[in-house]
Amino acid sequence: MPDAAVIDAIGHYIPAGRETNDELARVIDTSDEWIRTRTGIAARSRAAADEPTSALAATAGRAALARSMLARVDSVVVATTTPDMKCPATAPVVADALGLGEAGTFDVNSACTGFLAGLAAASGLIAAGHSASVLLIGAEKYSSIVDRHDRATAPIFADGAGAVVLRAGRPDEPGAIGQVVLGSDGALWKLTHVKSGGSKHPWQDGSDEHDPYIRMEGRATYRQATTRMVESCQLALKARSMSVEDVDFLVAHQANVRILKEVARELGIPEERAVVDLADIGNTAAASIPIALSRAWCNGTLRGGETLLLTAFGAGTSWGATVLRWPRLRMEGED
Amino acid sequence: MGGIGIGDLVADLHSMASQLEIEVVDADVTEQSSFDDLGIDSLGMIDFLIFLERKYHVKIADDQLNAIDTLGDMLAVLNQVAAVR
Repeated sequence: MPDAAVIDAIGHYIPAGRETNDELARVIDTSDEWIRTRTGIAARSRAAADEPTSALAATAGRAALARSMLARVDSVVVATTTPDMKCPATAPVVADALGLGEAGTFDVNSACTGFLAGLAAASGLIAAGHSASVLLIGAEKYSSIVDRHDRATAPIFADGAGAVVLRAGRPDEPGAIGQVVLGSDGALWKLTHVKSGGSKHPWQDGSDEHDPYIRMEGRATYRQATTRMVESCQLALKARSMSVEDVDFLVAHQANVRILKEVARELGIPEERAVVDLADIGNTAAASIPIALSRAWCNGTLRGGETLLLTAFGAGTSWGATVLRWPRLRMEGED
Repeated sequence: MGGIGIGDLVADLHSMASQLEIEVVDADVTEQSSFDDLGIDSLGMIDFLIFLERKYHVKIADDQLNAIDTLGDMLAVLNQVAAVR
């Protein structure tokens, strides 16, 4: 039985559409300056009407598979808050689009913590011998659940996908997935939620109080996010007997620039070692960490051998963190 | 505990000024000063609140956060939770 899951390849897809701050300011009472100072976001990516989450996921997955040494994968796991449909899961639709035949498939829903929860699940599939390889994709189309008139969410959330191919390997090689520290506090579910369309408030009950959009308590979410990400990072470092001095880059869920700076400051990690990658795309929820990793690898920030501290906080509330030594990956066409 | 006064809070603001990216002028700060007046937005206010929670060993509930607009509001909430501690 293999001991660990190891990252073999990475890819991402960000749809071409953008909604700029000036465009938003025509719809809601806000301004470019107001949004930039609070979020660090200048434009958020918007998928086309005919691009559901599965299409974003498949494009990112295809990019990762094209760089992988593996011809195919046994399982596909999609981390998403915005599945194509309530049923079935999005993962089988993605596997079919990628020609992956009868791969095992399922979705993971842990909102913005989804990629880290997915990493724990996918690496477990490999370590326990259920799969020899897994395509894990964080994919979101938040524009499908954002109220364009809501100042708390419309400037922030966006669409995109990031994917990693995981293969069986040794726990001591670069790219091996170690312990992923996960936690939650369900008593705070109201902080960020979509009320209607589930079994608690089904559409067919005819209520006048349905709300199809994501709602967020900004102040409380900000406080919870900063404290929980810091705590989980400290636990993840302790589990590996490491300290912040060992960390080359903090790659946190790209929620907003203020949270990223505050988490880095609290941890004692210099600001320049916190990866900030949201100005031109916004917060892509479960996709933000793999997109940030993929873009940092594509632009040469990550070359192989760097020690990364990954962390996320999302609706649930839920959170997580893990330490990852970045592997040397191959581009398309490389031997 | 004798309660936290406006002077304490202004001193705390000074301690946090660089992180909050503000310049605090004592003479201008009263209980009626809103965080907005001081150039502190809602997220900066939460950064300040987390600092105060740690310093005074208190926990302010989520549902009280949206009612805080001025230094006086912050002082009232702080003293309320400190008293029941």
